[in-house]
Amino acid sequence: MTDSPVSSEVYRAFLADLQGDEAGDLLSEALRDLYERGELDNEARLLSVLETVAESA
Amino acid sequence: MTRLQELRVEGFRGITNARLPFAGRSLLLGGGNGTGKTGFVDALEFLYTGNVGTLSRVQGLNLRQHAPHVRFAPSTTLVSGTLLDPDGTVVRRLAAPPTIPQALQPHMARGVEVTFLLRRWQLQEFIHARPADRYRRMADLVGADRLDRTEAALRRVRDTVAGECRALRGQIESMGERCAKLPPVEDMATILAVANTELEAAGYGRMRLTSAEDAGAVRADVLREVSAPDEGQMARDRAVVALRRGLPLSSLDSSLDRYLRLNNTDRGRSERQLLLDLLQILRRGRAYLQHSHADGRCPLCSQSVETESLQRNLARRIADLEEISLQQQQMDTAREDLEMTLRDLQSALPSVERTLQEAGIEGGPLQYVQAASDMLRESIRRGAPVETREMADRLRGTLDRWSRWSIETTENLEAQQDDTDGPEATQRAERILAVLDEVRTRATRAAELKGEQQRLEADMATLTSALARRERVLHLADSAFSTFNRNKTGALQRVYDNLRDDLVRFYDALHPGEGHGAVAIAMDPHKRGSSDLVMDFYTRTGEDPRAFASEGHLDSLGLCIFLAFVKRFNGDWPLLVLDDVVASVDTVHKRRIAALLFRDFGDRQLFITTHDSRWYADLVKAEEEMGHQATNMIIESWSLEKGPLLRAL
Repeated sequence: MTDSPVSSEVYRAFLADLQGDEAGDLLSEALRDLYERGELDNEARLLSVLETVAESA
Repeated sequence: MTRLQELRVEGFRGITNARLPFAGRSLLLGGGNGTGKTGFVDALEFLYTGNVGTLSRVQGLNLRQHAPHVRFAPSTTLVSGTLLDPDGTVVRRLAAPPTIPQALQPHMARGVEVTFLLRRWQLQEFIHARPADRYRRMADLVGADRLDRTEAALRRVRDTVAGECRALRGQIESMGERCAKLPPVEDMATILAVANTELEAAGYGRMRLTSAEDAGAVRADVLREVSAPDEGQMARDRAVVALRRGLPLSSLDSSLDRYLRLNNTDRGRSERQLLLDLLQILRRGRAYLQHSHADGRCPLCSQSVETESLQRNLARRIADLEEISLQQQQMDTAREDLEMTLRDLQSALPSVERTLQEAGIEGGPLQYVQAASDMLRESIRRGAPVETREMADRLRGTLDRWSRWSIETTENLEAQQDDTDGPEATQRAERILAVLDEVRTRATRAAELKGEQQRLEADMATLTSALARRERVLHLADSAFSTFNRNKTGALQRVYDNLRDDLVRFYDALHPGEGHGAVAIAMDPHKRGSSDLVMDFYTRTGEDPRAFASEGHLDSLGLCIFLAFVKRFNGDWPLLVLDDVVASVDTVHKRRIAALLFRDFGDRQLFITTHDSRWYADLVKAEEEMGHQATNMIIESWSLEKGPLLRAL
């Protein structure tokens, strides 16, 4: 599914706003990867990403 | 720009066989009620989207049963559209996948995404919708559906992790209570010091204990030193020591009370297990709803459901059941605690019984203590609350009898001891042997307690570490959700603000000098997924338009909102379809709408239907004044056998 201009803008700003410290940078990068694979609404994937970042940061 | 050349319809809705010759231009279609105008609109929607909104909005109606003409089978129904630039013909049937030439596939895919068709019921529903429903329609137009799904997933992940943190805190608290209830562990150095003092006082100062293991060797030495010991008296003395020491009952009452209090519930174990199973099902159901994109239908019965409401209800139900899950954990902890206490009690019984037998004393109520504790453990194992309470009372009664018997027996033994004038050395030796037995007993108990304490502390450390890790995840989940929510809400409001310019311009054009002020769509930052329509009216500001506007004005407002969306979001998409949208608007305003459509949307391919012959004439006039060439047609009549009878003007 393609993004509308509005949703593209929201995703871009969201990923940018998360950055700012080590954990935020890692989270933003991992969520960008999910977004590009169209899995940002997949709860299992989201949880896995959050756990990985929490362990890494 | 891709244009529609011709629409061909066979056996669809009220149309048996008809063609609309768009010829790449706009098409105005007039005709009375029930002549099949909307059938052509449905056919056009079916061609582009594979769906018919008029059917899908009503429960009990569906495309396969209700889209075909009543004299046609679904397999013979056909809608096709011939398009120009790129050229090709798209064919869609009910019973087979659509045929779409490769060159037209991007255009047709776009047709599914854009909103290009407006019917009068959609206007009415939008204006009179609840703010949440209005938001959903706006979100569809803006393409925010994916944003909503992402936001919902982030919220659910955050809530799930928050629930896990609460459960971990509950387990840590429960474990802390168990730790606090453990009796203090006796220091071995203190036990040995007391025993060595006794040895010293009894004249055995040369036999010092340096560890509990020394007690066996010292005991053997003492026995060797005492000639012709009175074994019977020594056995009775040991019995007195054992009876004075009593059974390990210090924590039994509190363990029993806690277990019975927590199990004082109407729910049996099987019902609680069913509820916990239900919790798992609801969690998986919620995940299914999330991942399957259930499209507003219940996955169990396929009935239409309000997905947001269902998700909210699921979240509430899951929270309730997680509370039951936490209670179950506390009950499990209490059960384990009680079982441990009962095991301690039962493990002490054989030693006491053996000591009494060696002294020639029958165990009295001791065997009943064993039986009562066995029955209590069995009732706990089977999870029968009423029976457990009875067994607990029985055990308490048995222990009371044991206690009375124990006191009486001790007094009898001590009386016998007083009657015995054994040699002083023997009495000293017996006292020391009792001290050594006590050392071994207390050392064993201290080691057990220390092991239990270390195990609990290790478990607590593991849980505390797990909680810290989970709280880090929760912090990230909360940050992600709040950041996303803030960006989404802000972006949608900016969209609404941008729409406002066109909306105000269109509405001003239709209603000049009629007392209205700024028209806007607003999001309440404190309400999730909610959009309000507001309008100034003379001296009143920010009012709901329904407070002051007529039905005709409200229809007009809905049309202006739709057109503002088309202007902003449809880009170069050519088609704009309006199905009888001005029924409640008066003649003057209809004329202005006709002019607005051809002035602001004349570069598109308009398909407008109306039963109103005067507005039809207004549209033709506006089309000519703006220099457009449209295909103008009317439906003269309709019959079941022949469908609509079309005539070009």
